[in-house]
Amino acid sequence: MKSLPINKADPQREKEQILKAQANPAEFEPLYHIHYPRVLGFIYNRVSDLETAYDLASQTFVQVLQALPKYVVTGAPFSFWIIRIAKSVLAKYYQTSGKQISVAITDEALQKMEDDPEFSTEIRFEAISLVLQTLGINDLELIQLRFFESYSFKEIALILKISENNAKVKTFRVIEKIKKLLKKSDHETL
Amino acid sequence: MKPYNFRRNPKPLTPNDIENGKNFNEVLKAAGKPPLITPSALKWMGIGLSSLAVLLGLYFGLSNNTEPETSFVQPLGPVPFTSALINPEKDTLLHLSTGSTIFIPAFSVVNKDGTPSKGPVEIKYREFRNVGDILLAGIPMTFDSNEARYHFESSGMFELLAFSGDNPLMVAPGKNITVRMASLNSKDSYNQYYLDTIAKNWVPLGKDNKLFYTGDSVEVGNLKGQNLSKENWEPIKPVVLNPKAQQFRIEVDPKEFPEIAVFGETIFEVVPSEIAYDPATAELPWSDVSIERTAEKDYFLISFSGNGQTLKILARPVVSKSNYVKEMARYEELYKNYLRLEKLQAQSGPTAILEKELSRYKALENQRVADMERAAFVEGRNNTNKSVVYSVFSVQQFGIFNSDYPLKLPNARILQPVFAFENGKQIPATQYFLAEMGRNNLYTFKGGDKIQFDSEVSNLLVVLLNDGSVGLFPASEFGKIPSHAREYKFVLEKVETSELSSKKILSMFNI
Repeated sequence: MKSLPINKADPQREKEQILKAQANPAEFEPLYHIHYPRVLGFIYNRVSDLETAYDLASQTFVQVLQALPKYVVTGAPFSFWIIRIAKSVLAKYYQTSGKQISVAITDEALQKMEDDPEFSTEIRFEAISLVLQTLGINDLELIQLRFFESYSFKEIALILKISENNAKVKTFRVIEKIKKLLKKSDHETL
Repeated sequence: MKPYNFRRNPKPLTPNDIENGKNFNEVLKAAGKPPLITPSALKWMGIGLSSLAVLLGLYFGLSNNTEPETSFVQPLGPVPFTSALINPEKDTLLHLSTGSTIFIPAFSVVNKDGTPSKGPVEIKYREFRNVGDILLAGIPMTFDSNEARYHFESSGMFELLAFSGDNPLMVAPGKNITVRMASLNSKDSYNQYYLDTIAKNWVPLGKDNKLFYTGDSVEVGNLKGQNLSKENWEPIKPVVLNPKAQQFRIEVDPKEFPEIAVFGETIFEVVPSEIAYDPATAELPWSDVSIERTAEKDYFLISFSGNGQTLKILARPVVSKSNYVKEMARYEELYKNYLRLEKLQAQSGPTAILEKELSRYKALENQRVADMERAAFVEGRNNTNKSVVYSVFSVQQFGIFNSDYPLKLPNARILQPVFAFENGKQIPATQYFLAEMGRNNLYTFKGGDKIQFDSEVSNLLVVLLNDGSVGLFPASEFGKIPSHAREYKFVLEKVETSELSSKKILSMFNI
């Protein structure tokens, strides 16, 4: 499922609002309304149902408010700081619940993979879901961010706290791995 | 079970779905319980107070707080910080008496609003090298993962903070402060963790990155460590030399250090904080000069040796102003080549050369570990000033870090403890800790928990009692516990918290 648009807050106004919220958490409300859709979407793509997504989105914003006094306003988008907290809430959820990690895949995303010059191969849901089962969580995350949620490499780098170049190189390596596995699974099917 | 559940074409979120999930008031209410900056948070963060004395007062003031179940121990006494004032606009290398070093690149410390800190910055650092220090400081020694609880065996911990006056500072985004924590533990099975004071748990950072010093050479222990075990080196971007800084020239083999190959002439600039450096040093008739990489890719440790002396200087390669344009062009070319090779490597997987190099490092590493362990055995474990192993941390936020190994509780003996003093009066415990001699570990138990211990090793018990006092049960007394006992009265030596010291705790191991 494609990621929701990056927050539309004016950076200067957002910065002012963050500083206000650092002094008084109630001032966070406008930021909550701006960032909630994106956070909910991010979580919903990673859990099995909407109710769980609501719960984890709330937990995310609770942690955001608790950590806000430590937040340093820099040039980096505030939304990615929140997404990183959502990621840690999700990780904790899967650690403690022992549930199977859920990943949303749309046919549109599969088409995007197929059309990507790096893949340039037919991608069927049945085959790719088998291949993705063999990936580690970090590798899967790169594919999810890049192809299932259409994040740019710059955005992936901000979410994963790595350099843009590193995000590209790592994603490229996972693509190569997937291509090999897809090829192998084709041969085995034959 | 398959690790992932792939949901094909899930129902997209509608504006109604989004609105239905919003409840800012609930979030605000939940975030307020407990508020972030409370005395109990400060107890853990150890920041924001103007003096250590006030901080300690707060520790003790809070020690009677009967917080609901907590995985954190209560601080028992001071573990002092070492402080240094630095200029944040310059690279700084701090040497600690323990043998550890802290490298703070210029402009890597910022104010809370993200602006660079300009005034003098106070760096506060302390290490927790044994269970005595850890207990005193109140560092939690449990780690919860996948619904399981682990107890840490420590290869060393440290706390690093920075202040401008009384205001805590942050590490600038994208910057790394490198801490090389000296340790005598040469095992490579440890992991690095950061203490998340909000989630109240340790955050795993990956495998410990160890540096082994043997005589004049240094090897990196963790083969997955940054910048090593690879043949494609990212070239270093040329920077123009600072005319006010000190430089020296040495010949560098571009085959050995391809990342410096971009520099037509190799001028090294001394890190300004290297006050021990005398420019005349480079003119002395040293018999050998060696270069070692550091965790910061742009910086190298240059060792001059001869006549029984060794001088180590942290320095970075620089270029003269007149050569800058030429060398930048060369850099651009080499950087393109680097990216091309990275891509190629990703396509073809590890090359035979890389595998050979990895195998060479592995063999060297094994040899170093064996040497280190022999050296540690011969020199004795108490010689902390002659550390030959470092844990290298890349610090991106201030706080508490460790190099630890998660352990499960020992299950050799399980019994119900009852705690009493010599006068026979029983007294309930709020929490107690079991340490094993030679392991540098702590097992953490709640007051009513059954104790689990290995009777084959030397144990020490530290008990926090609900009257605020501390009781110690020495290693020598463990042998008196009957082998069939299911319950045992541990007669404790009462210690006032004001008398408690790391030395006192460790002395209880002496049997």
